[in-house]
Amino acid sequence: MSDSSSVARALAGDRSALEGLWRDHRRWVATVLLAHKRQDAELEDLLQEVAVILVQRLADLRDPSRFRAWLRAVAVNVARMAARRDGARPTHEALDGVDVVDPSGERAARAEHARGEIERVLAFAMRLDPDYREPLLLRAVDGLGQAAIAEILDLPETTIETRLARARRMLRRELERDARPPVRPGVPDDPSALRLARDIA
Amino acid sequence: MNDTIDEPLLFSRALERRASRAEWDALERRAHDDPRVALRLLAHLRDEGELSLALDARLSALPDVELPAPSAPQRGARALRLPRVALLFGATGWAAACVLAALLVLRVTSDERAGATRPSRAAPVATSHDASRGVGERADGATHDADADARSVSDAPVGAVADALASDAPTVLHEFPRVLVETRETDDGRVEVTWLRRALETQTVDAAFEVVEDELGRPTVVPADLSMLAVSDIL
Repeated sequence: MSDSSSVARALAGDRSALEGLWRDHRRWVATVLLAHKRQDAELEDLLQEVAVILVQRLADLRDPSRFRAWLRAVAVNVARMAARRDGARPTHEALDGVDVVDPSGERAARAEHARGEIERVLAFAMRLDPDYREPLLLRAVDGLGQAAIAEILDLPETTIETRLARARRMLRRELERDARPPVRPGVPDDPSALRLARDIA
Repeated sequence: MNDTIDEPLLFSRALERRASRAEWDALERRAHDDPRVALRLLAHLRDEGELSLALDARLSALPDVELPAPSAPQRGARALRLPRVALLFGATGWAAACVLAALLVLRVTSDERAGATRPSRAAPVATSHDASRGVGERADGATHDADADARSVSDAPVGAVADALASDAPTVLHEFPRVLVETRETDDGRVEVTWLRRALETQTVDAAFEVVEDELGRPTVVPADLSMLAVSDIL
């Protein structure tokens, strides 16, 4: 779905159109910030900065059809500028509020028990290279398909498909490397598990 | 043919509900040959579900961030915004003015110390609008502290005043107490002190330039609307 008409109305001064755009997109904007921000940066503060820039700088957008790519670039820059402003190295090896410095070590094992399975997957996803982490996280946002992610990242859809496939494989390898037991002991002697997966998907 | 597709891509298409019948058949054949394939697909499916749940929990915990009230942001009326360093000074009007003044004279005074030629109306600093010259390169072809300009652009937050052209030297109205930033012992036993000087200065400028983002989010220097200085929403 194109945002061009809403962007055009927002540029013409229609405040409700601008607010509608923000409501429609702020969830994935927050995800982009999460993918690029420093561990200790407050997600809410960064999201507020993006909101301010959206209000003040939308007029700089020359091509309304590229609104999503522009908004994503704003979010990435807000996250990077915050990291530079805070004067420490950007980090992509830790999840906000969760230390995952050495996920294969004893510390991670202790933290894992406290954290639970669900956060563990997100924590490992945060360790992926940003090129893979960002589309993987965006894919986990409700309703964002590969085409929408391609538009946001300003990349061909085939590139997104490849990156998602690699990201999933890397995530699985990292999780398996975490010295955990296999998902389920034993090996089925028929492909019923595949049928189950197919039904669920 | 689909048996040649690598497993991650096949899995990904299955998870995305984009797998064709032929690809599902290929998956099934592989699962017959090696039942662990089905387990691996299940593990991927589980990862997807847990990742979505975790992200949803993270985003749902985030308060609704609404848009701020507009402050003359429309096309052709770009408001100047001070960088966040102003907050260090308590964000009072005087402190903000101090920082703004310091920003305006920063390049001018550093040029004077370095003995560099200060740009004038006759030799304006090129902006990003002038694609044939880089930032900081003068119209007459001479390089004008290009490294420093490039650094100031890449480091400056959006909305910062990146440069100003002035014919007169600034006048210091008041100097505030210095802010200690860092101390470090030197090899010869002395102490190197880094501090932030805060001065309220006034200066008449001919032109100013600010940092904005282009469509790709890259910092770009453009001429600033001087009339907007007086109505900056922070000041």
